[in-house]
Amino acid sequence: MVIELKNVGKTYNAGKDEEVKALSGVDLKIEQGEFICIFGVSGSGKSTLLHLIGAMDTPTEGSVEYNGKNIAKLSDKEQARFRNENIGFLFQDYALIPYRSVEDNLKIPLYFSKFKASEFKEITNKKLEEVGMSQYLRRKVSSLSGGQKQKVALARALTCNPSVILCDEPTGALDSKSSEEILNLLLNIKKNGTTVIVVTHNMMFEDYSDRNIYIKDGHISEA
Amino acid sequence: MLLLSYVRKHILLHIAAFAMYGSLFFIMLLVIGEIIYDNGYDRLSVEDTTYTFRIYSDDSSKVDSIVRSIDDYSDILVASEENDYVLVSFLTPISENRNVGMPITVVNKNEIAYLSEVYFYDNFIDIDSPNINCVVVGGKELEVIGQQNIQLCLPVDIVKILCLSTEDFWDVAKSDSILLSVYKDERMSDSELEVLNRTFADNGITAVNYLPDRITSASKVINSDAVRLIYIIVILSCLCFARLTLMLVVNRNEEYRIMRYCGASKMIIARYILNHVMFVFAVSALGGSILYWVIAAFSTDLFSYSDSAFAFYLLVLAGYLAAALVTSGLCILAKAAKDGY
Repeated sequence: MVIELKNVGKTYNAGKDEEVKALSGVDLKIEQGEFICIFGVSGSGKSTLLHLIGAMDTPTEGSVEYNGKNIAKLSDKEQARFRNENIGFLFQDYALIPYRSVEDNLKIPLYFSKFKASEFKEITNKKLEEVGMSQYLRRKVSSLSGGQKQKVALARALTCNPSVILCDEPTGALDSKSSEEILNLLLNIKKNGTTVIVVTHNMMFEDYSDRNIYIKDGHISEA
Repeated sequence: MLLLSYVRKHILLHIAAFAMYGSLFFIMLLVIGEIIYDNGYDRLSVEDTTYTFRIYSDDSSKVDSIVRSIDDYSDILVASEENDYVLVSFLTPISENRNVGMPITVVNKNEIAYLSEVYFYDNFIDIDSPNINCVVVGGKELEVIGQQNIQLCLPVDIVKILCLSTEDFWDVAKSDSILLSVYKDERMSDSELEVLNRTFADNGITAVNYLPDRITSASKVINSDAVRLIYIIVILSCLCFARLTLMLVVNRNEEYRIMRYCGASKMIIARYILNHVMFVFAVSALGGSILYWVIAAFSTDLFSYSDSAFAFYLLVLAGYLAAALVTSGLCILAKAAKDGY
């Protein structure tokens, strides 16, 4: 799936005193299966860009297109369906529900998907195997280490077989060993043809990505 | 499935919530039952209006002093006058429900303020009881001479007329003390008598039980403090309702955010929240109903409702649903306004 951002801009509180221009004139094309890293300091607009690509937000200017289709024009319901089928998210804080089991967390995207309930178990087992966490199926998330949580989060991001994985500081809360494991898993995912977009401060990613993009004050530049 | 999974994971919290909401529903049944059926919770002590006397004496100064001293308890009723009789009116209960009180009114033609007026509950005087035909005022027994419909200021439709001959009446009136006693199925409790006598002790009036001790049974009248308690409980329950709604439904923004990332639309999340509120509503209404009907089955005097009990029940259910939705809605709106979710 080809992702194309055309002259994308995002302004918060437009027309008000507290107006904030987070992104401006962003043009970016990402091919299927690319591993892209986006670097930038805090407040530069990285997360905003990720949210726009992930259909969690809509641009105030320009368009975000997947295979030529502008997702900003979809209804909320269509955007949700689009996210469920095409995009997996990975966050620094894992975005897992701590008091639920690993299995329960992996099932969340499946509840909103086209998969039948009878298939849930097989899918969750398979995805946990892919990240080497199958033995933790019944464990409560709160009892896992940071690295294990991030692997579970990655497994959940993969449950609906997305074509794009969006990562927001995926190693920001991890030690170097766990960071390396996550990086390797993301590289494996990329090998299977999934597009991986990582927003990070961690320069370790720089050497492994296909392209590095730098963002400053809402404007992007490529290395 | 997601909701059931959440409920399962927080089973203790939900049990607490259901118990709390169930209690709230039960209390609503009580309070609304009081409003509609007039169970009597609002006039349960002598200090309020349980007994109201109006005293006659040919000594107007004595009457004045008595009336002044009990002025807070007085209630003027329209009384019938007959040529040769002083009439004592028993106001009977509305249908078979709890009544609104039973005044005994004694009037004498051409006399003013010669009244003895007592409010009782239906459990004191049962219109269908053969004992009702006998009322003693100052040791003189009154006889029932008929029954008639009368429109008074109270919502009462049947009045039993009892009479006392003028001669007997004067005998009573001229005595130093007026003995008031009601022939009823049950004696007044000692505490009721005590309060009654304390109230009128300075005026030379004595209230006694007509029935011997062996017929004594517990009074069904509940103290009016129960009313205040009920309203305090309602307020506390509403606060708990709001707090638990916040815990169970509203303070889960993080989960809703995760659901959004995982492909849930805003509509799905709204539906999820609504389902949760409805789930809590349904289970707690069921729990509250069971509690209510179990108590009603074991204590038939506590709730004495008519054939419209089903309509009443539906009304309370609708009120409870509205309260649940409004409370939850307000909590959600307040939370949304606060953090912009």
